[in-house]
Amino acid sequence: MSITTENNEKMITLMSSDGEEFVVEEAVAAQSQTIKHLIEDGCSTEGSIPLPNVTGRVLSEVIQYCKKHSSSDDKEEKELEAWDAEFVKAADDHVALTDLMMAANFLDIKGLLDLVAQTLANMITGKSPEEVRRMWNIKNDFTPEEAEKVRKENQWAFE
Amino acid sequence: MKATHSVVTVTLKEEDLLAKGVTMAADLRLPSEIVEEILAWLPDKTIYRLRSVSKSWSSLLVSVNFHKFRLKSTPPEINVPKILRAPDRKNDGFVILDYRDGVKTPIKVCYPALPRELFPAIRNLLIGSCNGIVCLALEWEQIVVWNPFTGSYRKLPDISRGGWTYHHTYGFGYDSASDDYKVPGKKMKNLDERYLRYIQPGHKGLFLNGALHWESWGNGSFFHYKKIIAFDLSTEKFYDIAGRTPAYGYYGYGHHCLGVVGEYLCICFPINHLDRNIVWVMKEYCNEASWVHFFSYSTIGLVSYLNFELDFARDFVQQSFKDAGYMILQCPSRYVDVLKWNINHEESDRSEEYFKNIKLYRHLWRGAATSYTEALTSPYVSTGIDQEF
Repeated sequence: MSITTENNEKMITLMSSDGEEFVVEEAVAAQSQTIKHLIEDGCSTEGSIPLPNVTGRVLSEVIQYCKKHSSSDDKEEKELEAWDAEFVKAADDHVALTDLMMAANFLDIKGLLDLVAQTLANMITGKSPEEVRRMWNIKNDFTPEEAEKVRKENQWAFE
Repeated sequence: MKATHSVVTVTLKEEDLLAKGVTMAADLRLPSEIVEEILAWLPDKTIYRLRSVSKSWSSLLVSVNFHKFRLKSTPPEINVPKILRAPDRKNDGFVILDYRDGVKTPIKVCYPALPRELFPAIRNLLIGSCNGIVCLALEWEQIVVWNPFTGSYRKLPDISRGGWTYHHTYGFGYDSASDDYKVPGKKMKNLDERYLRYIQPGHKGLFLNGALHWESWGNGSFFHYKKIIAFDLSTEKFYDIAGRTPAYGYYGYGHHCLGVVGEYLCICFPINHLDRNIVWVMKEYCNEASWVHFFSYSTIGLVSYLNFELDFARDFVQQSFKDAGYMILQCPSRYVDVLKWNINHEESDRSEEYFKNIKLYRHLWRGAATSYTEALTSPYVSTGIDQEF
C-alpha cells in the first residue's frame, strides 16, 4: 500500500518489531539499502514493510537521521557534521549506541554505521580490557595461562 | 573463515533493558561484524591491547579478515609497506626501512624481535610476506613465520632435511580455505613438471588471490616472457593466467617483474628504445582482454636499470591500496627504487612525481629483503594465541 501526499512524494510505511508504524517518504527510507532493495523487489505493495530486528524506539532515531541526511544535500557540510555530533550525543550511552549500530547494520545505512562506530571507538579509546568487558558484559573466557600469554605478547602495546 | 563466524555474546544489564522498555530475552548477541566496524577505527596499539577482552575478540582482532577490513577503511598513507632486510655480516639484526619520508638510514628493529637463540645465523633469508606476516628461512632446516610488528612467531614443520630450505621453497602465501599460511616446497608430491620448468630458479611466487604467480621464462631464453603461471595454494595445482602478457614481443633487456596494484595483478617491463619501464594492470583476474596500460616511467638514472644482474634479480612491486601508492622496485643488487604514483594525477604520464634510490644492502642476496605491511595478524591464524614449540 503506498500513499501519495500533496507534493506527490511517495510514502511508505515501516513497521518495527514491537508493532509501531512509521510513515515516511520513500526517498528517506531508501537511504537504507536494505529497504531500498525491498521496495525494488516489490515488497512494499502489500501494506507496510516489517522490520523484525528493529524496535520502534531505535527506528524513530534511524528515521530522524535519514530525514536529516536526505533533506540536506545542498546544505553546508559543517552544519551536517554538527548535527551528527548532536545526534550521537543524544543517544547518550553505549547501550543505546550499540542498538543503533545493529539497526544501521541490518538496514545497511553506511553513513550512520560509520558515525556510530566512530563514536563507540572513541568511547573505547584509553579503556582497559576490563572496562571494555564491563561495557558490553563480555565474559572473559581465557584460562589464566592463556590470559598470561596474551598479556605477555601485549606488553609492547602497554608501553 | 573461522573468524567471521565467531560472535561475541553480550548480555545487557537488567536495568538497562528495563530502562529501554525492552522485554526480549536478556541475552543479546553482538555480531563480530559490529565489533569489527567499531574497532577498525582504533589505532594499532589500542586494538592489540583489546585482545585481552575475550577469546573471540582476540581471534577476530588478529584475523586476516580484520586486517583486510582495516586496510580498506584506513587511508593508504598509513598502510605503506615497509622493507624488511635480513641480517648480513655487518649487521646482526633485522632492519626495517621506511622510505615514506625519504628515510634512508636503516632503523633497527625496535619491536619485540625474535629470540636470539633462534637466530644465531647471519644468513636468514626472506621467502616473502603477506598480510603483515613475513616468512623466513633459517640457515638450516627451519622455516618461521613472523609478524615483525607484534613480534609473534611460529615455526613451521620441516619441509626438507639437510638442505637449505630457502632454495626448496616456491614462495609464501595465505590459503583461506584452510585458514593457514603455506610454503609450498620442492618436496611436495605430484607437482606438475610442465609448470615447474617455467619457474625461473630461485624466483619466489608473487602472492595474490590465494595463489602464487610467476612470469614464465620458457624456451630457454631469459627474455622470452610469454605468460603468467600460478599455483593455487588450496588445491595445490598449477594453472595458467589466460593469454599472453603485454610484455610478449618485447625483447628488451632489464628485468621484468610481477606485482600487485590494489588487488590486481600487474606487470612491469622495460621498453629499451624509449628508456622507459611500463606497467600494465590486469583489471579482471584471468581475463586476457582486461590488461590495461597503467603508467610508465623513465629509467634514466635508475639504479635498477643500470645494474641489471639477472642472476641476482629478485623483483617485486608492492604498494598500498586505493588510488595512490608507492611502488618498490627492488633492483638486482644493493638498491631499491621507490616510485610514488597517483592515479588521479592529471598529467598524461603519472610518473616521476617522486623517485629515489635507497641503498639497501652491501650485497643483495636473493631473499635478503622483502616488503610487508604492518599488521596485527597472528601467525597462529585460528586462535591468535601463541603456542609453545
